[in-house]
Amino acid sequence: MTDETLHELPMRWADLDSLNHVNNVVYLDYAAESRALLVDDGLIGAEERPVRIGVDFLRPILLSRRPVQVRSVRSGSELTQRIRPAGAEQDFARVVTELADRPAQLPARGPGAASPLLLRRSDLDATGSVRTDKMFELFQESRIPAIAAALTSMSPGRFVAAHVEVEYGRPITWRREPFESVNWVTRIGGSSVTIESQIADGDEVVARCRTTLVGFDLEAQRSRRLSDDEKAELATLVPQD
Amino acid sequence: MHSHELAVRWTDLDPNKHLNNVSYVNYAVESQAALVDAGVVGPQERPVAVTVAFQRPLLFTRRPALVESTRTGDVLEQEVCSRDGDRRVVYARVTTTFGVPATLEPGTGRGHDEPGRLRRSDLDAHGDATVAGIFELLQEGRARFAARHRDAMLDGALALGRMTLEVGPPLAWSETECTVRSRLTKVTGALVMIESDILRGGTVHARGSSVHMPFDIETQKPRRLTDEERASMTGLVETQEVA
Repeated sequence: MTDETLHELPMRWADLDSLNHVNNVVYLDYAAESRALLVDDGLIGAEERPVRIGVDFLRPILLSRRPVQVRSVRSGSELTQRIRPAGAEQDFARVVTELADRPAQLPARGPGAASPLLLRRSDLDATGSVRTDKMFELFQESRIPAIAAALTSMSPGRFVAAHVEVEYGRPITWRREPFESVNWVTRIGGSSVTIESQIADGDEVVARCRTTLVGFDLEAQRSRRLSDDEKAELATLVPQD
Repeated sequence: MHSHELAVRWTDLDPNKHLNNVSYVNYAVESQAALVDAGVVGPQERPVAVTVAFQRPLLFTRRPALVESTRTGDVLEQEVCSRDGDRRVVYARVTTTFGVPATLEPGTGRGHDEPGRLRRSDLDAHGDATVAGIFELLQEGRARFAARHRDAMLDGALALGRMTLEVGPPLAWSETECTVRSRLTKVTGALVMIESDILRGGTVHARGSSVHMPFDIETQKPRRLTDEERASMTGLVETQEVA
């Protein structure tokens, strides 16, 4: 295990989402920024690529003049990064990245309904492939309408992401034609739901994502139980054998 | 005229549930990449000036936004808009001039300094800050300046109406912070003008000139500054620190 490396990154107003919190996908940008610095420092090899990134969202970060701190520890192929605003005593997010020199082996295409997924050039890194953190954004953008279509009432903040994990297959390079996103529900609990998502190119799955969403009471700012109606509506996204 | 459709993403929104100002620039840049493919913009052409005139806020929609582009000589006019039958609504007009970046003079050296730091996600394939990245850096510097003087600067109740960016030498990624130096250049009853430079090691890499309109937070409508507010802001002009 390596010693802990600390990076401080200024927060930006543009990091905030419509709920006035740091957008979930921005945590991945913080982690990616810090990982790039670890590459510069030789702690991560230039040929090593993330094959899996999991993030636990522990509490929301509000805008502050204080920088964000990313504390990284590497143990074998696993890099753990803990994110919090400077001065805070608790972590606000934890990002675990598995590094390897070859892509993950991904399962076959899943059973959900497919939707077109268009890339933007701003999704790409210097090699012309979709950045690892942008993949979280693509999954988020594909997941929200899939869930919203199943629910009769959907508003921002009704669910919050507690855990998101992405596995990366081959690099996704730019093309004008859309890829396909596939989403389905794999578990419905008392207060949370798990969604499996894939980005596919024909029959080939190029990335997969597993997300745990928790019911949230925006006014009380705490988690809530899912209603029977919500459960029944979410159940329509569970594939039938 | 060339038209491109772009899906609006949740991450394009700001805390006011409007498209973030920088997102309009992103849409224009995204469409410019398609214009390169179409041969309308040369792959080596670089923007030297970009002006964004914000017309009305674009709220989140599942319908794609349109970017309609027309090129005349070195100037590319783009409108971020929507069409519904005969009804066309323009949200922002982006004017990009291509050419050779000029050297930007450091100016008087006066202004309010805020640190700025690039992220790798701000960079293009050459490792330089993209136009959208520069806009964001200027926006962050300006927002920090306004927050530091929140009483005089109306606690954020200034809407961005227009922003002009002059592009200087490329701003490459560096762990070293750069400086965003902002100064108030004009305060009238109806508008406030701010000029901001991105500086690193004495070189001005970009200069942004923005026009802001005071608005009433409750009614979200434009309003005029009171004499007291003008005096308070003008005081900020006169007390600008010498760097």
